Amino acid sequence: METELVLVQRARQGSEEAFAALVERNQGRIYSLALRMTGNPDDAAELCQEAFLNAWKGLGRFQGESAFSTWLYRLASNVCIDFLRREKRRAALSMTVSLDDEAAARQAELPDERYSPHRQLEQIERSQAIRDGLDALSPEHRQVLVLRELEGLSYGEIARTLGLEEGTVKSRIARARLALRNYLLSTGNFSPGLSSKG
Amino acid sequence: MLTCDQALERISAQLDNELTDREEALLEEHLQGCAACRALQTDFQALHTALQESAAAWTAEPPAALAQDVMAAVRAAKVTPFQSKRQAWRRRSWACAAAMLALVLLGGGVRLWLNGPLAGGGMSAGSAAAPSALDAASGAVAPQAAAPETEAESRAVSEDTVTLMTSGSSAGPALPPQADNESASQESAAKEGAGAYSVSGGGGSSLLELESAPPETQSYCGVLTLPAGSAVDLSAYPCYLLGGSACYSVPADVFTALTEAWADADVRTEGDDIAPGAATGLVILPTCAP
Repeated sequence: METELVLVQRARQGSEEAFAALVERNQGRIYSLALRMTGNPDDAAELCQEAFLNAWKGLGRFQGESAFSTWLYRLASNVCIDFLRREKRRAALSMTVSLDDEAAARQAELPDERYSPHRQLEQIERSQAIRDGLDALSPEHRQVLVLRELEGLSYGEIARTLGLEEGTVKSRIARARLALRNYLLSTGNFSPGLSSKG
Repeated sequence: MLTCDQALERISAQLDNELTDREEALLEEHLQGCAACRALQTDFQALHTALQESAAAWTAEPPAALAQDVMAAVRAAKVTPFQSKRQAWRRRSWACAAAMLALVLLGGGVRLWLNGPLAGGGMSAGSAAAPSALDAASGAVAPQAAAPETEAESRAVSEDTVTLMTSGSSAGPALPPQADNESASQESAAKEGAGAYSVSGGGGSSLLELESAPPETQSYCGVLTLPAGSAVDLSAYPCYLLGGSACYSVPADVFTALTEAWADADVRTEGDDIAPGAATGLVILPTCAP
């Protein structure tokens, strides 16, 4: 079993076989990241592919300053955030076109059958609510929450992945949580401050 | 005493075990007197738990065909990692920047900029001295390790070629942190780094290693070269030295606005460093801003 270092060296010299081995080794983690960022398996597969292709083309620039898998992860994170920003722009454009006053009013009134102050959400409903909440966040907020909560990266690791100061990461995560909480409150999927389970 | 805004950050950091004891004590003090923040803490804890539970739900194996599809795309790309680099940059003539550099070097001598090892987060340090390097006599500074010294075959060496090496920096400087919109630091600071950096002069194509400047894995929505002497204020954006030029990494909407405002400027939108939907573009100003 060849080390990552050897595979990378061979891939840099043009060995597709070596690169294929790198793909096999890393696709699980990269796909997972893309899936958590987008919430959509098809988008995730496409972005995963784009990340690997970028890695192949960019191998000439890879200096070995970090592990290849770390470099690739950072690359994939960039691919995902670019995608989310494009989607956000697209969604914003279509929203201004389609949302009229009546539709907006209807949306505000619609009672959420799932919401009850005295009932804990079932886990599956909670998961879906969280997913909706994440999708509603800005790409930057979604990204830091995914990296922290779903990918389990520390503040330092997130800082290095995104090229940010740690203080910025800390602040951004706090604001992302606040945005998520406010979103869930506004959609009635959250009992504010009532949960006494520690 | 903490404000609620300060408390917010600490409540969040506490969930991630990123609070010092002292900060924890300050937070507790605030929480004792603030019901709103106590409620916030409860909510954040619930969210934290829910997210962690969801992590397992959002774990899946990649589709079986993924690796195959990737390799099919790799083959279709028909370039090797090094070939693609050369092709991309031969398509563009950097004669303007290269010629300026040649003039500068011949006329004013070369000043090498030596820096010690770069810490990951401390890229803005040392930039105080950067303005002095930006006068007419400054040489090209290698913003970031461009390529390993062993890759000599990709450097064209001729009498016009100048190779600038900085030495002494230990291996593995961290990637320069991407300029963060929320941080006010390093507005037009140049980013220095260690590494080989070569330019071939003359009227032909040159091998300016642009990818050694801004973050390595970044793709750009385009590269725009403004006319020499154009008075554009880009001081709010991260600036890198490239040859005798300053180049700026700007958000995509700023990039678009500039390409529209400077209709006859040089815009590059193809090549391996370009991804049309990328969030940033690169703007090159042939004259260095002091």
